[in-house]
Amino acid sequence: MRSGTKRVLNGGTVATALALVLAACGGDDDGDGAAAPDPEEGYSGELTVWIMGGGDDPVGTSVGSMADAFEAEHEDVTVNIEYVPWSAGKDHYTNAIVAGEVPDLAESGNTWTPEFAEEGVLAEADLSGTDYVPVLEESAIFDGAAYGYPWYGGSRILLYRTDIFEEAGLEPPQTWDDMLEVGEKIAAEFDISPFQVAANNQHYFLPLIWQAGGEIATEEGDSWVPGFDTDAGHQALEYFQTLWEKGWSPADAETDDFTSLSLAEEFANEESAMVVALPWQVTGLVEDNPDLEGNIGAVLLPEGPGGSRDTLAGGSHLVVFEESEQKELAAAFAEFVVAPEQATDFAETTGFFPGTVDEAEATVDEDDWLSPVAAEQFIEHARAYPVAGWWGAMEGATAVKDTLQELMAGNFTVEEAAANLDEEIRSRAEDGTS
Amino acid sequence: MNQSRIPGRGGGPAVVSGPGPGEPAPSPPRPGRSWRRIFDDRIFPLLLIAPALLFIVGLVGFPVFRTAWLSFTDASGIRALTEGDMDFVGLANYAEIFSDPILRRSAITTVVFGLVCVVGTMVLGIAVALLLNQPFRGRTLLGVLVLLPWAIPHIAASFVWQWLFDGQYGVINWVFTSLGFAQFEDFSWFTEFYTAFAVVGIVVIWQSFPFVTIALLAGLQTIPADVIEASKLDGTNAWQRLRMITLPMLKPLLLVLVVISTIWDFKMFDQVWVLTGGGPARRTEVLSVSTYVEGITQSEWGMGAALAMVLFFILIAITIVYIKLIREEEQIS
Repeated sequence: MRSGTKRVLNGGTVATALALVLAACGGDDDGDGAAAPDPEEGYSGELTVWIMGGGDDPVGTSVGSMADAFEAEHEDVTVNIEYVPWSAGKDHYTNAIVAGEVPDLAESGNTWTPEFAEEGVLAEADLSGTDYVPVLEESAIFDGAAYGYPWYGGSRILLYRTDIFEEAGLEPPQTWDDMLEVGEKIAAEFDISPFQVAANNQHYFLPLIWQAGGEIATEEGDSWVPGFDTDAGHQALEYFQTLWEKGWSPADAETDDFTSLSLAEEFANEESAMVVALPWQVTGLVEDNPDLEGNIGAVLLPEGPGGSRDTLAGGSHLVVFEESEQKELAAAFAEFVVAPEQATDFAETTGFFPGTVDEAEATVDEDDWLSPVAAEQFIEHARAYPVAGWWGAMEGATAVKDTLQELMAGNFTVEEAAANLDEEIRSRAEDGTS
Repeated sequence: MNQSRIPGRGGGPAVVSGPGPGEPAPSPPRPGRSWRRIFDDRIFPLLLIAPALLFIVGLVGFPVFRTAWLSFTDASGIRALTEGDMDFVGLANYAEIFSDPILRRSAITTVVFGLVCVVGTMVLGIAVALLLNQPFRGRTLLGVLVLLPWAIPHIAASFVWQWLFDGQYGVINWVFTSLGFAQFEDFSWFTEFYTAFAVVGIVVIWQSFPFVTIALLAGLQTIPADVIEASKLDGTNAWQRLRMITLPMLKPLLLVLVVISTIWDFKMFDQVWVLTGGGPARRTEVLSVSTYVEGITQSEWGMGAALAMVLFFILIAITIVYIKLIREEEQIS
């Protein structure tokens, strides 16, 4: 623990300052006397925290050191961090909720938070006093109340091979039409696929409808109206179908096992010249294939016919569970983790954007080829999926993948695929609101 | 035990030490004694098996009845389990299984594909057992090699097979393409129903035949050599000996192996889940995969339970048929 001394001291001042802010904000809480204990007296007890991913991940190690710092500030507090793999995450949480054995605090994928909130298992979060990134805050709000602390986020951008584009004298695509045109040229001149699509990659497909000017679903009164069986929805499906029918993607791209990770592998294997990926994936791509170093460029996602480049604002919240016996302590640790003082380090270690506006902007390095593009995409061209309890079930279901697989296999026309997606959304939205 | 219950009919000592004729017998129907008898005969055995019974009811009976009950409800979502928020819907889930094209296909696939795998496993298992029963050089080595697929965890082995059959980088496609079959260039085995199940079938049979082989090898050793010798003297050929002596003598063992293989192959999950995930578009699901997809990933507990019950009843029906066959066999022999 000797090595932690310096960090502990730094963390100490931070936590004290934070605790003061907390105490100041706590005054207008709902009159619960115990809500804001005196910071000088400090907290005590044991805190169980679930963090997504592994303990060796950048996020995992970062949280580990934050926990050490928090423990050093509050002598009577023990923070136990348990790591939950993303792939098993949703089931793990559902099982815990059913069994009544929830942690005090947990990282929640921002598309899950409304579902958990609707189940009534989350405690309200106090987001006043800090300027959070709007899109992350928005997805934490259910029925007018906030249930998660926006922690970090990121959104997909278009990566392309600068060496190939230079050799061909091409500019990276700015629109869907550009994409097809540029793709044709690359396919004709090089022995490489311009751009690949896969059925099991809904976070690429779903935002296409926004780019075409439509909505996945809109809330009208008490019900949700799905939006794929519209002009914009059809355009999104047609564009996806066109990309598939160009023959630029491997035949296996129709199977369940071919995911966004496979697409990234293809790019790393120099099998494709462009890929839609998260900014932090770049490190892994270059690690897999050092030849790519210096040969990757990044641009905003191409603009669709609706004049939009929007994509999903992916991210994580920290949520406090209602059944926790340490709700104040859990909230205090959550606020400590998302606090501006931690955010810059966290962003540097992980490559994600912090959940607070000032810090998200501060992470941008104007001289870098990647970070300004990633920031512009995330702050100006990223949005949340429908914020509703039923969305978790829709995303967890295989509906989008199944529909795209039928479209790729030629079993569905664009119209049938659109009608099918709308039906899947409608049936789940009805279940959720009944 | 028997002797003490029937006084007088026992051996010598009863006569010697027992009361003589005319003397009052030691009152057989005394109430205390009959209680003791009831306790000894009925209650005591029950008490002895009670702990085991309790465990079985708790660990097998309760889950089965709970699943059966859930299958008649529309339970879905977390609240159904935490707060009992569900309605009784009768046989609606079962009706949906047989009307929904995906689930119906899943049920039919389970039965047909399961039976194909059982036949494949048994044929290959018998063939390899007969081979290993012959004396030849390297028999021990081959015996060990045969056991290997059985010793590798299903999931790990399935991932290896998945790579072998990978469309772009798989060895199988590379071999076929090198041999001049150009259509295997970037051929996707897992997008079509039949090619996908051909691969799954290979993996399942490859994993399950070693057990059949080892069990049959043990069975083959029990066939007396003189029977075989005698039939040879009668001028039978090898095929006749297999058909009329070896297999009939192994019949009880074969029946047990068929039952076990059927149960394994009908509830197979890992191979399908790893190789195809049930896709594309849920076209390659079997009942166990459908149960997981509906029940766990979509939180439709009611439907998941109904699918599990369908599989349960299919297996019970098949097991009953087999048990009957075994009983008949025993009565004949």
